[in-house]
Amino acid sequence: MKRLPDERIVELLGSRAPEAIEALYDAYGGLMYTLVLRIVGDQQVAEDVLQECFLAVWRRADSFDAARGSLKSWMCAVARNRAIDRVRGQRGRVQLDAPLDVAVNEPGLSDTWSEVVAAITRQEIRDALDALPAEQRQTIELAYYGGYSQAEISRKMGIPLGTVKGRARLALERLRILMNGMATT
Amino acid sequence: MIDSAECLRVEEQLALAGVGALEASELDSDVRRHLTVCPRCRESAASYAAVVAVLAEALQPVDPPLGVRRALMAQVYGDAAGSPAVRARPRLARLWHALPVSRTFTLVAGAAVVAAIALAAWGVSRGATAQASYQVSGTTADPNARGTLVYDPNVQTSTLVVHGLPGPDAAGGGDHVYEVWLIPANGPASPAGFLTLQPDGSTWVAVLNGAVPAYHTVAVTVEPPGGSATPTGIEVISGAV
Repeated sequence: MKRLPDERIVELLGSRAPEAIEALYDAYGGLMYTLVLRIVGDQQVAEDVLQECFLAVWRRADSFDAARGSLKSWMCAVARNRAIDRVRGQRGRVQLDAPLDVAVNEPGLSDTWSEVVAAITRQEIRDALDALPAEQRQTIELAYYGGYSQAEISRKMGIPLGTVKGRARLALERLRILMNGMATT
Repeated sequence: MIDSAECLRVEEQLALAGVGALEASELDSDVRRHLTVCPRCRESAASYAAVVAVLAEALQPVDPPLGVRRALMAQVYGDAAGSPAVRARPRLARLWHALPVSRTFTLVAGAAVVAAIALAAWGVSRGATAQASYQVSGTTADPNARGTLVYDPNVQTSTLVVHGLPGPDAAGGGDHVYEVWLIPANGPASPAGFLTLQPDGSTWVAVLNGAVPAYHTVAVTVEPPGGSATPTGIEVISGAV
């Protein structure tokens, strides 16, 4: 299967060419559908959300900013946010690039971490998650794959909010150390 | 002077926001301000974003049904019909792109045209009901593929002739087959046959089961040997009926 490079897809998006969406779908539709299906847990809803994602990207094709991260990350963020909105209603949600854009606008930092994650395989990501202490892994899974808020995780796990925050931070810290090690070996 | 307790609090917020567990109303307003003055937290923010960006890839991949792509692109091409980018295209190219499913104005490879014309002439010479001919084209997976589907109502048989698909090493050589599907406007795809490579080494032909006019779309996917009950592989050909 031939796949257009991301740079070319971005060009097509910029010129509002519909082929950009075809190419985007062929490149990331499967990954996005996998993520959406995991969050919403229903095939029909997942199909609807997937279509919504691509239509939103098509109708706001100029909203992608390569300086903030890769096309794949952006599409996954769109998919996750849409899926979570679907399962939790249209409540306000912090998008990944809202609090972090100050950081990822610094090319040096962004490039460093882009290189790290680009070198990681699916199995290594799974290995890194498996290497987390169970309570940290569960926190990440409930939040990222389950679409639960910190308050919901707190109730579900029977732990204080502060513990949820601490576990989320420790999990991401541990993952970055593990992934950094995997990428450099 | 950066307060390490403040950094810890900001990093916890960044981590929660990163994994999507933070509501908009719960984000402290001073986080952004802190990031502008704290290199450590900026580094944390970048690394959390990078880690979160690959979490989706840990999941076992599930392919969306083929109909999702088709429905999506119908909407996108419909939206695009009046856009400046599309209006700037030459007329034939514009018509091609405006009809993503049928792509009626595809330039068909010579042999397929000849086959279609020959079949049509045969039908006319018999004084029978006119045949229907539909153009099909490659998806972005195989954009050079072109073909024609000819339906003869007199014998209720359809023949799909395709050029431009990769050869036996890519499909039909034992590892994979090209399976043809007839898809109604609403409902699941029906398996209709397999493309077989002709002796010229470049023409693929399938004689299809099913009354083609009852369907909305014809499509070809790459499937494992023996074919599949429902489409599972990459869609390489699509056309409206």
